[in-house]
Amino acid sequence: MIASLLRKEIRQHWPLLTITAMGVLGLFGVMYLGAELDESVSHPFELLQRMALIGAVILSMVVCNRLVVLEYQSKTQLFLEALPLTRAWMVAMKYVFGAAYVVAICGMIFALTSLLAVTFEELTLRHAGIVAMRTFSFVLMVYTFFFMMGLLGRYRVAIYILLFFCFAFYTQYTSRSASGVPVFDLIMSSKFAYERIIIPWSQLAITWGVIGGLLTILFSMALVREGTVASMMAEKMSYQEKVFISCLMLGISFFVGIFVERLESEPFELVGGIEASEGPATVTVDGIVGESTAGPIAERVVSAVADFAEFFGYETLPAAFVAFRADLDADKYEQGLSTDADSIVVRVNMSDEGWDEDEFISFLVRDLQLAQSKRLSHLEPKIWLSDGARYYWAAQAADPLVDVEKLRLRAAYAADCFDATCPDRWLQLNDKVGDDIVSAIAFVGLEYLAEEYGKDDCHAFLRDVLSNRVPDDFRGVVHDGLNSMPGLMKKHFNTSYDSFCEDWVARVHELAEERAAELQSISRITGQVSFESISDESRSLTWDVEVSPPADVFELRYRRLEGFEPRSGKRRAESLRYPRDTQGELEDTFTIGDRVRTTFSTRNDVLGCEIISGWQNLTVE
Amino acid sequence: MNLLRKELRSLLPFVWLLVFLAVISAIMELFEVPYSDTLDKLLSDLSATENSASWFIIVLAMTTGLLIREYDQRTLEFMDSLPLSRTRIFFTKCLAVLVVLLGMTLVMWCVEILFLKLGDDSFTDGRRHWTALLVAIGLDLIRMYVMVGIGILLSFFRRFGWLAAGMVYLLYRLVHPHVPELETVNIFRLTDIQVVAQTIVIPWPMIAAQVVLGTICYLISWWLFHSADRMVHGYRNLSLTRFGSAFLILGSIGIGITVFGILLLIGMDQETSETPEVSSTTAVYTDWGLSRASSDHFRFSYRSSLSERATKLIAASDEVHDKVVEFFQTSSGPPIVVDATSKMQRHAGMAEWNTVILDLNTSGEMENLKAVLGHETAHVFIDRLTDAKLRNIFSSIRFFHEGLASYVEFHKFDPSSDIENYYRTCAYMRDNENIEFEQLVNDGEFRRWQDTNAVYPVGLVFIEALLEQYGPDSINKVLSAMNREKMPEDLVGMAYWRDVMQAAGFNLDTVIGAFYSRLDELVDDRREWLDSVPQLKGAVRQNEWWLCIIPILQKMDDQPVELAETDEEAEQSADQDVGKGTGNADDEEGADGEEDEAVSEAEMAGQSGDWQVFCRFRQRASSPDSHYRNVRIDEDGEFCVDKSDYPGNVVWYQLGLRHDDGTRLYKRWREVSLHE
Repeated sequence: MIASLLRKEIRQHWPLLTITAMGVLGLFGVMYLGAELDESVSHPFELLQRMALIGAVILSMVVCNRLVVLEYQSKTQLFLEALPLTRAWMVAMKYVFGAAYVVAICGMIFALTSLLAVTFEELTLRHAGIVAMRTFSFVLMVYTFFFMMGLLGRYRVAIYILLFFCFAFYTQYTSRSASGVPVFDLIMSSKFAYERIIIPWSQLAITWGVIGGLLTILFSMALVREGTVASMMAEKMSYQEKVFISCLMLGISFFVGIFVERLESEPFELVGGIEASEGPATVTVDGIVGESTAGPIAERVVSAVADFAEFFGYETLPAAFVAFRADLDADKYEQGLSTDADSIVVRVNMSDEGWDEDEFISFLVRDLQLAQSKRLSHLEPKIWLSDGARYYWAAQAADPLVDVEKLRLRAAYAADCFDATCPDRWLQLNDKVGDDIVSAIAFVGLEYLAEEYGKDDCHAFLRDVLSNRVPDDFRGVVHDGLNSMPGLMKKHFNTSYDSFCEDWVARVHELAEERAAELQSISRITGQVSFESISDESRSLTWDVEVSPPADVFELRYRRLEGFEPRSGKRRAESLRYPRDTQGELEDTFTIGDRVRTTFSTRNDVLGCEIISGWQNLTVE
Repeated sequence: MNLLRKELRSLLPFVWLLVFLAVISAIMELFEVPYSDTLDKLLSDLSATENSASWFIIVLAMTTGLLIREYDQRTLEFMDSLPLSRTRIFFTKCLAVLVVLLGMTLVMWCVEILFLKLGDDSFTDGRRHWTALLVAIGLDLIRMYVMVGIGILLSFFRRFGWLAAGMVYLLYRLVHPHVPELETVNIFRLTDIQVVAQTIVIPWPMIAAQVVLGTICYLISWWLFHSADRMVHGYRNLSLTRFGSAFLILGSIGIGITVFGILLLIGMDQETSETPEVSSTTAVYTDWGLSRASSDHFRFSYRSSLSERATKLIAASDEVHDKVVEFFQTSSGPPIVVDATSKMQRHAGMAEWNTVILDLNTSGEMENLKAVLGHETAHVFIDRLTDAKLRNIFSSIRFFHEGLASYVEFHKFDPSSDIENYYRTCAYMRDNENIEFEQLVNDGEFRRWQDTNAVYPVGLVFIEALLEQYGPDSINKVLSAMNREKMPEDLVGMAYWRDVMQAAGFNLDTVIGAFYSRLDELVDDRREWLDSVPQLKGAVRQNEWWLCIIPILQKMDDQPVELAETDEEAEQSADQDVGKGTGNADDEEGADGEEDEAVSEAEMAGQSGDWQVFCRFRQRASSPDSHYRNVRIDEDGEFCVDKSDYPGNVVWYQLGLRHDDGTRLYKRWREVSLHE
């Protein structure tokens, strides 16, 4: 009877199965030719690897569709069940027939690739055996899966979609890769073609375990309730049912990935660092500079940061890691990479002679503040508060960390650039005068508020705006919208924002008048950048700069802007000497349409900071 | 109108699905850090292939039953009895689908623009932003139009439509490397946004080709629906029979293979016509028999024609192996299989798991072959010590892999090429601010701007810095950290290296600092040589058909250098000195077409002392090395390419200098937009 059934299956399906087999073998031929042309395959077994992935799926889908899906859809299995053969034998016979077909075709491909491999190396039985075990275990697993899915009838497509999205989210939202799953690693491993010694027993055991599980499920579905379950599920889905199921599956799969355990990377750690903690503040300084240097730095910095946290009412602060970088200048600080929101990394050169710990602390606390409250880094009308708050706090400290007179001088230096509209265009002001000077202007604004309305009110104002109690998502957006600067000014100082801005400008101009003589001696850097044609479309960048009174060294900084961002791109700098390099030409060339951002800069010792000529965004024409 | 309402009603489930997706997406955005969206990010998301693929699947699902359902459910006869023409029915159905999809697209864009505008500041150029957004939306809508057309046509194939779509895609992937012009009809590329001067480069040829393609699909579908009932019914009946299904599958596969074969031949013809004539030929006797031999640690297979060379190498192989083992402070392990039968275009050697592929034709010098074997054996041991895990994140560790193997090659062996060339390359790059560690750990970004083979010298210097900073055990500690259990598998780039270094007990910042310090040392030590390297600039000129790069050489005293014709000696020298890189097998886009380069370098015009200029081009930043086009200089002293070879409307070019001693220096890649 079994033989008769086998003959029936062959007679019924041989054309399609033959064509499919020819197609898969043809595809193998095509891939072989393509691989030969591209030199993209280093070993013939890599072709087997690819074909096992593709061929197993195609062959299994076709044969299972013929043996299972069509049989149950057209309900001809009822006829078979009427024969003197148990349902279990009938299903088993179909399974074995299909498996033999799939294994046979894959076996042909294996044989062909083995023949090719013999020309490549001395192919040992063990090597061939390992490859064969991997290949056929995977192929059988795929076939069994599709056989089982065939019994799910009209829901199989929906479940395919569900599994696809579940897998996609699994790999995306966890830290595991697809090849990390043992059943896939069997076929996707980079060792597939080359592992000649070690048999992957654990992966094989898992794969065969999966095959066993799938067999149990499929036989259960085929046999339970005399096979009526499979028969009912084989009926075609309506159009609306298809879409509904798809939506449901998609929605479920979105949430699957959220609850799967992630493999987290270790929290950031500065190996060999000297850690100091006080209150919510934790600072770790790189121990590579020596414990005698790092230790006192850590203690002093953490004490300052703790005071800063208390001043602004921060109950928590990100941990600060201070890493040493010998290639940085003493007054250059870089933000390093931290992988979590609970820490920041700053790179400095604290062993350099010019290292200024107070200046560094002022920089660090601002970084901590910005890390604590991300939305502030994008809200232009309120950025000035963040810029000025660090200096305001530093000036209020029992042992001031900043020279207030220098800050006032910096602000006075930029008086010509500052008007009442600037707070709303703070980033543009920053572009004109640079970070240090713009922070000084912000400090003067806060100083004015403190003098005019009282330190307590100013302190409360800063704590209100710079607090970290509001979440950094849409709730923060709503909160910021409801607490604009005019409203906050009214609330804390009972004054209008516009009049505050005018008073602020007046204060800065007043400082400029008082220090006019001193300002005369401070260098100002002005420069002109232009583009000279070297071909129809290419331009070279030339400059003409004046530093008056002269300074020894200055820089031309420029960035190539990409996309639409006004301040993106890697910063490049040409170090120049005055007066030798007052005019010059960059080695770099630019094409019509390129966007370039440039400024000249130099360090001024009187102001104790960098001054710039002002960033310009230019389009090459 | 009633018909349109009826069609829209039947599409309601899909509308709900799309609304669901849009709502989920919007909710997820609400809980992200606000103001994080930028216009560039938005355009980048649109350009992602996953975006196009997702939409294509949705479109296929929507269009699958649009027309065919009427046949299968036999409602078409009922509709025929109504005072409605088939044309009108067809038009209404298409309109319904387009209304839903285009409408949802616009809604999703509105949501994205809303979130985008939250992040506006005083720098935001509203006019440019809105212009760019309108262009991007336009491209998205055109893409949808084309996808719906294709989907409707495929729907007539019923379940074979998905198979047909898959086959077309597979064929495209196989043929495209040989026929780059095919990209014009790639619907997934239409929304690949290119921005130049804050303006989106509109790919007019691509738009025209794809709109025509989409319209043809609509027209064919209309004809089938309007006039080909018998054909549609016949197809349906055919697909239900055994022989019919077999015929359809065979026919599909046959057509696919035929089309592939034709296109492949076209591609091969093009490659043949572009290959410059080589003045000398190297004969390889491929019909020589295969020989095998083993040493204690290797199993060699090689061509009998090179048996003498192979035998010497085999005799020295165990010594090579022992040196590598000693360096890695590890044990021998199973024998390494060496395939020395290959003649590789782009590599002297490659390595896979426990396997080395070697080209014995590279060199007749035994020391050089030993060095190559040592390099590749180092790759094998790196794989062993990390259990091949590095293959999964090769982009983040390529410089490390190649640098470590190069370190072994130069410090343990005596290759014919000089390590000084490597140091000079690094010094030149550092002096020109072309080395950033953040870029090095992202190979795609590195290749975008730099010569892909620069990872060898730069990686070698990194290894030297690591060893100097943390001692001889540092390499093994790093490899152990890379191979540790429960290491997160999705870390890439800086995050990966931070994690690895920390697990190894090191600080990444310290290593980076040491790396830059080492580079600065190389610059200081070679200051005089660096000052002797002429400055090289490229000027662009283009007309309707050609894009040309004009190399401009200047000495340090700013005096321009006249480009002169190459003399015969330089030609011969360039022909003989076909230097090849060694590579890891995953480094499949290793050294580019060295032979092409040698030929074009031989024919380059222009010498500044012993320096020669060359130029190469590519279609896009992500183009693999095998697609780079080395171009010979013309009589006007320019490097010119045919603009029709670049359907994406941008061209990338890279100028370089080559010294007679073999040193190659590359400028950064530059992008140029094409226009008339």
